Amino acid sequence: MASWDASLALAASAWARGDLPKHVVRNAAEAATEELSKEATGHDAARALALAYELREAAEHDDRAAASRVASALEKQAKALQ
Amino acid sequence: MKSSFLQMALGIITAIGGFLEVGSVATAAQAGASHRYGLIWSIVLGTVCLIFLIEMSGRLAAISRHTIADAVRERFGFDFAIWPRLAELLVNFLVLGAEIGGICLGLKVLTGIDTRWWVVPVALFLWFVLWVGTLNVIENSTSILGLLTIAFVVAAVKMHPDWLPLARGAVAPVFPPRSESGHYWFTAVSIIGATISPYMVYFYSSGAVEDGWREKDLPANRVTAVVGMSFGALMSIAVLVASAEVFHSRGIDISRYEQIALVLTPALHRWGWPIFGAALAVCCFGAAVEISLASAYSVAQTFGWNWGEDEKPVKRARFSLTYTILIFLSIVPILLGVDPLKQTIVSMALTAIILPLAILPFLLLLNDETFVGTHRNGPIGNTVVVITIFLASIIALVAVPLEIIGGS
Repeated sequence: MASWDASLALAASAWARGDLPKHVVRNAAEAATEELSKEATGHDAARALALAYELREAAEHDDRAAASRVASALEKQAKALQ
Repeated sequence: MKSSFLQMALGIITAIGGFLEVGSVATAAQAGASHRYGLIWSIVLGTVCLIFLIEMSGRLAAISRHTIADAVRERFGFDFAIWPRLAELLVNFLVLGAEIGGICLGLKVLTGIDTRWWVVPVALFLWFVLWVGTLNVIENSTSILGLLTIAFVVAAVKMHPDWLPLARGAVAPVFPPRSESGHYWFTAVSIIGATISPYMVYFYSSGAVEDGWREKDLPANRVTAVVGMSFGALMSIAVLVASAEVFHSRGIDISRYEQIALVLTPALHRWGWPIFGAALAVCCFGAAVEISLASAYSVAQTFGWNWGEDEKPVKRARFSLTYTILIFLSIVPILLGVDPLKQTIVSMALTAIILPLAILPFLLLLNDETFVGTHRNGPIGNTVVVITIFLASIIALVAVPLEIIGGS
């Protein structure tokens, strides 16, 4: 789960900087949602899924400030889980 | 007739641009993410073995004017030759599906349009190119476009890797904790399978016969094998190093291509994703061409049919029918929703398992004066190839079941 948090944090911060187009971020968020839904359960998984959803929404609405916030939250969660 | 220099230059460009494909990208990326530099040795070992095999297949073609499949049938008879061909066809079917999946994933990265919409158009385009194109045009154009993969080297260097541990990882295994050893060895044999891919050796030998190589081409063959494959391996190592710097340092394990798509972004910023998408699509297309043709070549040569990519399809109908069937069958698993990354990794490990069956008969031919006259193999080439393929095969036989049942 920490692996997907870190992957999404990487995608989110790159998109917030303008280094990625939104479809690449959306792809990463969708892949994370699929994988996390298959394997993970519990509070941390629910939080990771919620952050993946928030990131996808931020990308859909071109909200880079929200993506930066999601990136920080994901980084924090990944560090806590590692 | 091309000059020797031009032939060598083209051969080297072909090797560099054509070395990376979905298997080498996926296995190197997984290795770097999970084991940092600890599996570079497996790329080095696979490449040393591949250099010997490529040189041998060119030598066999130039001296005997036989392709490998042709010579195996002539030397050992059809009843024997059919078994390595069947094993190869099965693996090629899976690898071709993985390569087509790789092209679609590259296009998905570039356009955002989902993979499943690309599968049928990509298969049709691949078939059309093979139907109307000639070997040199297809090979040289995909390989020159494949030079985009040099971006991986640029990215790896820009990320300032630790050179000492990197060099250590290149010369000897860096053993992981016991809990990770199953995955470590599975990834190692997948890398060796992705590097040694028998289809490359069969494709090279058929191309050499089709190009009419002679004894005077042997020096160019040797230089192409050594320089081209070494530079090609550098691309694989660059993918592994870039992946180690981006993913391992962040605790990311690779389980989907969507993660690998981010590998160039930290170093190349806004150029990272389009270069990754284009490089993946082009490299996989080049590999898909080679696998389709190599399979059709070896089936046609085993059954004694007319073959040749430069002939009109109507003149070698069964050859063309073979790659047509293979291309359209190979997309079935992707259309049924099989995960492309899993298919890639498993097919690379299966490649390692069948290496002795695919390579040993070929090695015997290279020691047979009837075929290669005074140009027989030396003891070093024989030893390196035998040890590598048996080691890879035995480790794969142990590691594949462990990986499938999720043990370590």
